[in-house]
Amino acid sequence: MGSLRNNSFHVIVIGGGITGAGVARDCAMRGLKVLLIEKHDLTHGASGRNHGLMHSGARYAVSDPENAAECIAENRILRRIARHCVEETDGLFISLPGDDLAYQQQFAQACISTGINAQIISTREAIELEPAVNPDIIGAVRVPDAAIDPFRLTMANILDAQAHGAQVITHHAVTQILTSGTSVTGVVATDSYGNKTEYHAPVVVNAAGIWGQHIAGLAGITLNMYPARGALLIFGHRVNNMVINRCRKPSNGDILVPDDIVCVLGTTSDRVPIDRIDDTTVTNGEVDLLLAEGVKLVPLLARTRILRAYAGIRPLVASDNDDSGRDISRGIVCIDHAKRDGMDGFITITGGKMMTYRLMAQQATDLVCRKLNVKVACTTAVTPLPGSEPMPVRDDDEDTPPVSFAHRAAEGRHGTLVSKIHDERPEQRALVCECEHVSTAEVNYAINELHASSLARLRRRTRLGMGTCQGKMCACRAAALMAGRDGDPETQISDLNAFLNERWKGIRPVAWGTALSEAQLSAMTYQSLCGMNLIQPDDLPKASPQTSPNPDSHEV
Amino acid sequence: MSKVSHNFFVSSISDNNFEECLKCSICTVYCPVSAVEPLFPGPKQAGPDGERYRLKNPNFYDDSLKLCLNCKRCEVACPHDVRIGDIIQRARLQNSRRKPGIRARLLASTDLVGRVATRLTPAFNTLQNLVTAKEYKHRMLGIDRHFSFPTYANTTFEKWFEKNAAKQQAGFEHQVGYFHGCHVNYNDHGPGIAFVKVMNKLGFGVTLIKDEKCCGNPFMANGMPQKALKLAFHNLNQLRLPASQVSDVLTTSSTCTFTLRDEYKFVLGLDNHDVRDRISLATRFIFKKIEDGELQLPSVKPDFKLRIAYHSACHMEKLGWSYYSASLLRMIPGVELIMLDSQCCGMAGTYGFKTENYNRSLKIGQPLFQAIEEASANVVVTDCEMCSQQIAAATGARVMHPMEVLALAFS
Amino acid sequence: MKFSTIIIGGGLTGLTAGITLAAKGQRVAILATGQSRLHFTSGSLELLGYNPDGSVVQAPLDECENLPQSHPYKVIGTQRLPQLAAEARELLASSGIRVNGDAATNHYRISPIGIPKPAWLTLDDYITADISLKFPFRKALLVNIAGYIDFPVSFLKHNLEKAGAACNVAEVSTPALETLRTSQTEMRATNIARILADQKAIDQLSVEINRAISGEDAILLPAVFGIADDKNLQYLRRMVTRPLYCISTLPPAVTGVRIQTRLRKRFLSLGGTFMLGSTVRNAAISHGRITSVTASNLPDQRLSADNFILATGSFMGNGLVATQDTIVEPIMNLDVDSLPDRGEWTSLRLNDRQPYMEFGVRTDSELHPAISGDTLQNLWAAGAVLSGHNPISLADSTGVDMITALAAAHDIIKSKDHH
Repeated sequence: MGSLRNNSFHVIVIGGGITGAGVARDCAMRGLKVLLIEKHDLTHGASGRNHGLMHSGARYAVSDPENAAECIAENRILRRIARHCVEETDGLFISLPGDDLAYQQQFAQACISTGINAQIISTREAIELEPAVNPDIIGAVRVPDAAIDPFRLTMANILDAQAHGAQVITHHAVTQILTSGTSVTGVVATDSYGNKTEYHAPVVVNAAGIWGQHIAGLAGITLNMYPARGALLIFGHRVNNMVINRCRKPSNGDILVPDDIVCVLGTTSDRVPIDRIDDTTVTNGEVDLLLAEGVKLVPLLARTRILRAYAGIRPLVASDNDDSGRDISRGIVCIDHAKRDGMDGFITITGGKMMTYRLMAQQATDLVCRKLNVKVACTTAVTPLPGSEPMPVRDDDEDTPPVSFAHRAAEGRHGTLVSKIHDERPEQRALVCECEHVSTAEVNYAINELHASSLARLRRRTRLGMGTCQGKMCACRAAALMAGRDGDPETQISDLNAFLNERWKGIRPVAWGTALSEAQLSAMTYQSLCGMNLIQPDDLPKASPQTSPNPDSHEV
Repeated sequence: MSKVSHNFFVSSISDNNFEECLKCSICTVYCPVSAVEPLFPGPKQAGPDGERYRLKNPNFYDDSLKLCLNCKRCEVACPHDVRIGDIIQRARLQNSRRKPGIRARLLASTDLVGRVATRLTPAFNTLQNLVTAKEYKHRMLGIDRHFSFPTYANTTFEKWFEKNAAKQQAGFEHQVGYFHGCHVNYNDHGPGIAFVKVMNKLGFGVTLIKDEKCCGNPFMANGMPQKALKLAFHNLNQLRLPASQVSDVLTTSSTCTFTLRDEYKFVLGLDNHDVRDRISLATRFIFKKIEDGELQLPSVKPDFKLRIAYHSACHMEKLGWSYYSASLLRMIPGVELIMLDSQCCGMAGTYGFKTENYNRSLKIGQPLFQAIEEASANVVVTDCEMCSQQIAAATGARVMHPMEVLALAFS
Repeated sequence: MKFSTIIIGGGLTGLTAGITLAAKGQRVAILATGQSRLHFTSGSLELLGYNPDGSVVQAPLDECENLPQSHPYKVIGTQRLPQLAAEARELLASSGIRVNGDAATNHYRISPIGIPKPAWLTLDDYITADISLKFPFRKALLVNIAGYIDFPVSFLKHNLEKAGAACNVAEVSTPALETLRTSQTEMRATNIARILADQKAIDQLSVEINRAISGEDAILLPAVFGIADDKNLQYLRRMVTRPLYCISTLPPAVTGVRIQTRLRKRFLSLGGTFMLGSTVRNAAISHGRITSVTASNLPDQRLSADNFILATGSFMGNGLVATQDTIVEPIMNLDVDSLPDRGEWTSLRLNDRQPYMEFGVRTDSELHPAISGDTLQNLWAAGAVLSGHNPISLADSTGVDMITALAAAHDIIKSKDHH
């Protein structure tokens, strides 16, 4: 391959979700010059809006054994390469009174024949293993499910891609696919102020998830996605330490995953029109439905505070007129549009699951390499992601000063990369986010190394504002910290306003009980005390694109 | 009979009511420790915030939680009834990995040390006040040299009772039980003797609880939950004995009372409902009898005059019972009562004894000591024996128990 | 225990009513779950800051006529406002709380991020601007305590300058504050105030501040002075070489704690009983009257009184409770004004008017609530638990607290005289 010009790459990846990040990493590790373009921020779509469940594959063992086999294989790989994003919780598939125990038998059989280590255990043992589970269960199967943090996983892939030379641009929408004859030659990316830039590459990978239909359309290609919307609830703390699934045909609200220090209940599954895929507002009906199902799994949920509700759109590929999309395969769809549509250099990678992102990336990258005639083997299955290298053994001697709470929390979030968080001085140790124990040092690290230039990004990189108070204590502190660094208070106040509005969007559907009390206290702080409501976003003068760079656009 | 193998860690902490926390940080305003000790993360962080992470992984437990006094002022201040202090206390008991040392055992074993000391007094008192002994305790045990252990009486209250009071008690129609607590038994019989006199004067005979043992509070404070549990089971069983089936078990120590009633239930997770409501401070018992018209205060000796500064101990605040003691004292003709603004004295049981806590303990108590001086009262009155010791040592003021004031007024 | 009046709730409303009644010789008990909303206040009180159309209120006494009939001021009758507002100011003064401002004309307070907001009374500590946004300085030195992160200096400077007040920025510290700074979590306004209660620390601080001044004609500091009183702030004012004013911080608010402390002291000095940690769970009602209540920590103690005032606050004080599908007043299940559909309780945009803020207990013109339409003759509701006001869109919260508390107290005294 010859030398490349500034805006020229071997491959352009569209989409900054886990799939795009995985493709960028794999391509970069195989020596390609990669550009990844994301319309919003990394993990803005389904990658940041799912269960955080690392499937064992058991859920699909009956209906889709091929996908289940992929899941368990990737499950084993991720435990090795993404150690700091994974929590090895194991899972239960429980049967409740009225559930069909014959299905349990079929389920366990299907698991075993797929290679998933599923064990039927006694209900007593199940309750001992997971005391939160409904004590009325009539059956339980133990499976190697686990929890995985999609934000960390995506970020780790991006960091590794960058370490291998990839370039990543966020807050740029691909608005045009450049072609010459029947070949793609690049893309046009547009920032939120309308500034356009051309980037060139002989191969373009469409990893835009549910927005992939639109991207394909830009290349004149028809791709029918099936937008299956799933709503989820986040509870205030971990009530369970194992993943709890309902042992029946997949349905609404039948999985509860312990994610870090919260637990997440999901999901619903409803087809939405393609023009409604950007609407992720959760309805009260969805909340009530999920809660009614969730308390059957874990009765304690009825008395546990709900922090927020959110929804994501699964990027399924349409097959028939199944209204829920539950019957569509979660299998990987890797389309070579040269073959399918006669468009050279254009690839779509979609379908699948977060769980199988690495395999999806491998398949897409193999195809990219074939097209570029590059013969380098994939090593992503054996190379630990940044942060997941073996942790240096800590001397737990009585004489060594104890590691701070915040540092331990940060270690859980960043794995070995915690060594880059410098908290030697007191001002670095001061906590910004008290619920999630995010220190000034961690905020600085996220700004410097993880390019968290807005509160929303900071939240995805660190958990700041994701805790019980949903940003009430920390949002203003963090915004002021950022303003102190780049000296633009106007932008930061506007960002603070946007952040609080975004938090409210998820709180609103669950705004009763303590959540409403908390929301009122938050409003008394930001609106009544501070007067944030007097700053409407429209009042803010937009920085002219000529004189100052678009604050949203950032090369990561 | 219940067995000691009860596993109180399984039951969920305070019913997970840490979720009620609105993160308003009001508790931090009223924490006496975080104001003077930057190493303590404060009640909100140590309590509800830390608890969320400890539920994920107990390794998030921090030894800095030992700096908590267990005064429960955070709970009293909390607008949402979060049991912040209980959450911290339970985390300490569950997660503390380091075994308690000799000092913790010595400080906690009020019964054992008391029994030995009362036999050997005055030698013990002389000995423990010798510079060399204080140095030994300071250096080797970490009990601050500035502190005298409470001086020990040369006999126990139980023996005093046996010798001087037991016989007369049968003559009363109504009987009340008395849980005297370690301090009355070994260190200062004063409140106990006053209690017997006052109750007799009011027409009640006094029955001691058979084989009463330490309530266990010092063991909880010094990280020995199994010991505390053992004592709790013992005391609950003793209180359930037919011989103790007097309808009311009265006390003169606010902390013992609080431990028997609330710490057994919320920190140790024991079911004490059948016993709990029978246990009351003597002042509360008397006040309620008077309020219900069942009792009248006897006449007070002529020209009785006393200007009292009443100090509301932390656990009295938590119980909400200061009103009873203060109102009862106000009923005594000749008493002028000044209610001191309720603040922690810094002693908190055995906390202030420890070398590393000594300075902090006095710093915490400073605003209270100042208020006491400004009140220029004849006497400070408090329901807590450890506050009493700290206040006397720090201010030189004369400190009395409410029962002692009543006894004085009626004598 | 038997009292003339029992007040449920120990915040600004409960204390205002308690002081007024105790001053008239009543035996009053205040029962409070815990500390109150005063801990998040700004150091200013607001009678009415905005009209229903969003415009700034200049003359609250006149413009309260624009309020809807359901607003508590309208419920008690706006003609009572001038008298009650004057009395509220008097009550604060008699408790040792020095305030500036009056009900006839609003002034501006400065929010912790530098936004001017209309106010009725502001503590003497604070910087204010008159209603035409005129500040009492040309250029100020905006000073923060090093390491204190609840005082967003960059936002303050920016918004103050937008409002026409130029400032320079500086940072100061003292050895004791540096020690506090080693705490990861407890470098809070109230803990800073505890350290600054030591006059030596004020001496050191004043030296630092004086050194930082270069040409500015005023000093602006975070409100981190004086939990018990403003003695040390006055001392600092004498020690520095320019006029010094405070700006409110993010919570906890030191001056709010001071207001609470001083009002409570005043209440106690009048012989009142203040029981903290006592959550009232239920009330005994017979023949349209409450006879007694019981508290969580004294379950076997009947707390009886002739009159009761409900001053339990809104949702955040648990004066109102939202379940998944309804809004209730949790102690007596009083009639409340709310909306039946949860979807209508809130607005999608956070900064829009939020209907739930205006939910609360419905009363007659004498502030008597009702159960299923039956009025409770010896119960008064006051403060944030009432329906029809909005602390954000109308900026009326502390005003409603004090005005309705005073109105209820007067009615109680009047009904007593009547007997």
